[in-house]
Amino acid sequence: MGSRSSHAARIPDVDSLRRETGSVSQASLRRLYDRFQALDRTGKGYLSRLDLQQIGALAVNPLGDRIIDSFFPDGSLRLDFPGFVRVLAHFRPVDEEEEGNRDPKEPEPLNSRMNKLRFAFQLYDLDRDGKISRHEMLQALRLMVGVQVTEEQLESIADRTVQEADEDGDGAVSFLEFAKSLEKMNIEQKMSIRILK
Amino acid sequence: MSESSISALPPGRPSRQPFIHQETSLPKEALEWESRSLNTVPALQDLNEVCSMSKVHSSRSLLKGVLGGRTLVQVWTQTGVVLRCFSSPPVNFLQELPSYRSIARKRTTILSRDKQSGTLLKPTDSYNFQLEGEITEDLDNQSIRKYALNISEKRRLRDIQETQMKYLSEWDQWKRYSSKSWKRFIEKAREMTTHLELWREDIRSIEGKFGTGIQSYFSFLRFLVLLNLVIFLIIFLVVLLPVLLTRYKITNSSFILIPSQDVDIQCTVYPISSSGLIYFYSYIIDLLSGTGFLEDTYLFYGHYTIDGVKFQNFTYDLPLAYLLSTIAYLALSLVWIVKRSVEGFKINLIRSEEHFQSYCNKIFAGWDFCITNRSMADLKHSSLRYELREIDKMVFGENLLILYLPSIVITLANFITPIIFAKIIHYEDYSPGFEIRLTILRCVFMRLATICVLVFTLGSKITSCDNYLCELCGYNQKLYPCWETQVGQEMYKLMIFDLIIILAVTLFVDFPRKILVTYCSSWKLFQCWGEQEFAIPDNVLGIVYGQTICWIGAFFSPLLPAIATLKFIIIFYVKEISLLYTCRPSPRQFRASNSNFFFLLVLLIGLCLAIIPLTISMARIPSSKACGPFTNFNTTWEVVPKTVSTFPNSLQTLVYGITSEAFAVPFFMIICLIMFYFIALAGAHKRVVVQLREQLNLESRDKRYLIQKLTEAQRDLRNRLD
Repeated sequence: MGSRSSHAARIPDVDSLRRETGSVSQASLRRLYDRFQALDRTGKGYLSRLDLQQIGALAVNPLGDRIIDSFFPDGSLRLDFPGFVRVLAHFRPVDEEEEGNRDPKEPEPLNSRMNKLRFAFQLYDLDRDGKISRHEMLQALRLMVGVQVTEEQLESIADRTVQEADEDGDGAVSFLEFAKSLEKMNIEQKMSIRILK
Repeated sequence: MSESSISALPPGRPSRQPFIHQETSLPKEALEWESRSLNTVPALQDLNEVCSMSKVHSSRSLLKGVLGGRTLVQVWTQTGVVLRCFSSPPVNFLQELPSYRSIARKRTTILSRDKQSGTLLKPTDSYNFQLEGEITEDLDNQSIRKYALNISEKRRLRDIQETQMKYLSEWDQWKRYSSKSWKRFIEKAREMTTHLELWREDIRSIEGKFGTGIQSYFSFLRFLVLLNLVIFLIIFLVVLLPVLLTRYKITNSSFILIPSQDVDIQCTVYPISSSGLIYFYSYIIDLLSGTGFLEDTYLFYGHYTIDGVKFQNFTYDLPLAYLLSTIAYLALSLVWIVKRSVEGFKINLIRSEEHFQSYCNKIFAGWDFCITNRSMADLKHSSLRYELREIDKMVFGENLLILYLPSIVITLANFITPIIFAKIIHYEDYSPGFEIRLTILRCVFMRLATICVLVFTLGSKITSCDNYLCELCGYNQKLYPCWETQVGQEMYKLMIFDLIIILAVTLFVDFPRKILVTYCSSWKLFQCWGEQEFAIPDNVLGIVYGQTICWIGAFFSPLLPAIATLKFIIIFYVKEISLLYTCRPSPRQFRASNSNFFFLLVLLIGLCLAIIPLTISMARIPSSKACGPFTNFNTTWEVVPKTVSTFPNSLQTLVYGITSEAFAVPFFMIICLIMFYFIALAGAHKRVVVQLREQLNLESRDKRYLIQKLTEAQRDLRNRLD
C-alpha cells in the first residue's frame, strides 16, 4: 500500500491531468501510465509512431493509421503522457451518476457523447475542413470493406451513404449531419474502454 | 467556420483543434459582468426576440445560447483581446436546447434498464423551479432514485415527499407505501429470474463466439425444452397423478371399471404378447419401437383402461380429464408461441426505420474494435461486405409473404416440385437473409409433408377393413385392436429414431470431418471441403419436426412430452459441443431479431399441422373398445356431450345455446369486425408515424435555419464590437 502512493507521485502533473480530462480516477491513471511505459520499449520517456504501431489491435484495424495520427496532432513526432491520456480520455465510459452530478458550469468532459463523436468525426475528415466529402467517404469505405469489391460498387455505396446522411444537399457530411446519422447508435457504450473507469 | 485564434488559450493545449473546445471555469467577475451586460448592449434586445423563438428561457442560458458560450464574457473581462472563436457554435446551441438535454437524460437512464424514464430536464438554475414542480407532482409514479440529479437535490426531494406524505390520508399513505414495496419486490424478482434462466452462460458464450444468428437457434431450443416440460406437467397432474395415487395405494381411492355394453365381443379382444423369456436383441428392438414389454405400460394410451377414479368425496372422470388435457396443452402451446412471436412481430412492424441511416451506421459504426488478430479481421471485413450487399437488396425481403403461397402449392403438389425448385434457383439475386428463410420454409414444408403422408396412411389403414368400410367396430380391429396405442408407437419410434440419427450424424460425420480437415489438410480434397458451418435451416427444421411429432403423439402416448424434453436437452448439449469443436463462424451473419419471429412462425405451422390429425382421430375415428379410457364412447369427443348432459338444466341450455349456429355465426362476424378494426387502426398508426417523421424532419430543418441566423447575428455583433 505504501509503495502505491509513491508511484502516483511519479506520474507528472497528476492533478492538472485529472482536471483536464474530466476526473479520470487515480487507478485508471495508474493503469494508463503502466501501459504507456510498457509501450515505450526503449525507455525514451515519450512514444513515437513506431511504438504505437506495435499494438496488435491497431495493426489489423482498418482505421489504425488514422487513430495513430490522432495521437500526434499537428505533425509532432513525440507523444508524452498527458497527450496520451488526453486522447484516451475520450474513451472513458459515460458514468450516469456523474453525468447527473455534473456541474453545468464546468466544461464538458472529454468522454461526453459529443466529444466522442467529434473524435470519431476527425478520423474520417482527413483535411480538417469540417466535412466528410465523397472522396473521403470513398477512402474510408475502401479501408472498411477491403479489396474484394469493385470500384463501381464502392462508388455507388459511397454515393448512397453521403445521400443518406446529407441534409443540406452540399454533397458532404458535416459534423451535425454525422452526429444526427449516429443518433440511434449507442456511442457511449461503443466508444468506451471499460478499464478506464 | 474554422477560424481559430491563438490568444487567451492556456499553455500546454493543442492550439489547432477545430472541434474540441476546452473551456475553463469562469472567474467570478465575469459572471457579474454578464448580468450587467445584458441590459446595456442594445443589440442584444433584438437577439432576445430571436432567442425567445427558440424557447431559451433563463438569462444566463440566453446569453450562452445567443453568444456561443463564454466568448462574449471573455471579451468583457479582457477588453480589446481578440475573441476566441469556437468554430462550431451551432453545436453549442444544440447542446443548450431543452430537447437535446432531455434526450441525453433519457439515453443515460435507458442504459440502466429503466423503462419508465419520464422527460427529465437538467436542473440549471432557472429550470429548478419548473423541475421541482414537475417532480413533486409526479412523485406518486416515479421513485426519486431514477432522476438524474445530484445527491443534495435528491435529498431535498425526499424531504418534500415525506412532508407531503403527512398531509395525505391514511389510505393514500398505505397505498404509496405498498406500491413502493411492490415495485421493489418486482425488481428483485425480475433480477432473480434472470439468474434462474436455463443455460444462460452457455448461450451467452455461444453468442459471443458465433453471433446472434446461431444463438437464436439455441434459445429457440431452450424454449421448446420449457414448453415440453410444461406440457408434460399438465398431463402428469391431470392424467397420471390420480392413476398413480390409486395404483400405489397412496390415497384411499379405487378404479371404476364399467364394462362396455352393446358392443360386439370381438371388438374387445386385445392380445398383448408378454413372454417370460425375452432375447436380448428383441429387448432392444422393443425399446426402440415401443412394442413388446413397453406396450402395456404407462407409456401408451392402452394402459389407461379406466373409466374413473373414486375418491372419498368425489368421482374423478378420467376420460374427460384425458380429453381436456389434450385440448389444454394444444391451447397452451398456441398461446405461448403466439405471445412470443408477437414480441418479435412488433419490432418487425416498426422495422421500416431500419432503412433509415443504415449505410451510415454500417460504415461509421460497423467495425468491432476488439478484434486483435488478422483472421478475425478478415472475417469482419467479409461480414461488412455481406451486410452492405444485404441493405442493398433489403427491398426483396419484405415480399416474404407473397412468395409463401407458392411454397404451399409446391408441397401439396409433390410431383411438380423438382421443376419449380430448379426454376427458382435461377433467381440468385435474393438478399442472403431472404434466401435462408426461403430455404427453411421449403425444407419445412417438405419434411412436414412426410408426417402428413405417414399420418394419412395410418388413418386410412385403420379405418379400412379389406378395402371396405369397417362395420363391426368402426375400425380395423384385426390389425389394430388398440389403434391408439399403435399410433402412439409410431410416434415414439419416429422420435427415438430422430434422436439416434442426430447423434449419429454428429458423431460419425461432423467430428471425423473436423479431424480430417485439421490433420490431413495437405490433401486437396479436404482443403476444399473445409470446416463446416453451423447450418441453421437444417437444424431448425429438425427441431420443428421433432416438436410436431411430440404434439401429435402426446395424445396417444402421455409420457411422450417427457421423452421429448429429454431429447431436446440431449440435442442441446450435443449441438453445443459440435458447434464449439467442429464449426467455424460463418462469414454470413444471420440477423437474430428477424429470425426469432420466423422460427416461431414455422413452429406455428407445425402446430397447425399437428392439430389436424388429432381432431380427425378424436372426432371421426371410433375409439377402440379394447383399451383406453374411451371404451364406453363412440368417439373420443363424445365424452363432452355426455358430460354436458349431466349438468343442471340451465347450464345445459346455456351450453347448447353457445354451440348452436344462432350464436356461432354472429360471434364469428363480430370477431371479423374486431379484426378489421385493429387492422385499420394499425394502418392509421403507421400513417401517423410517417407524418410525424416528416414533421420532425421539417422541424429540424427549421432549427438549423434558426441557428444559422443566430450565428450570423452573432458574427455581426462581433464585427460591430471590433
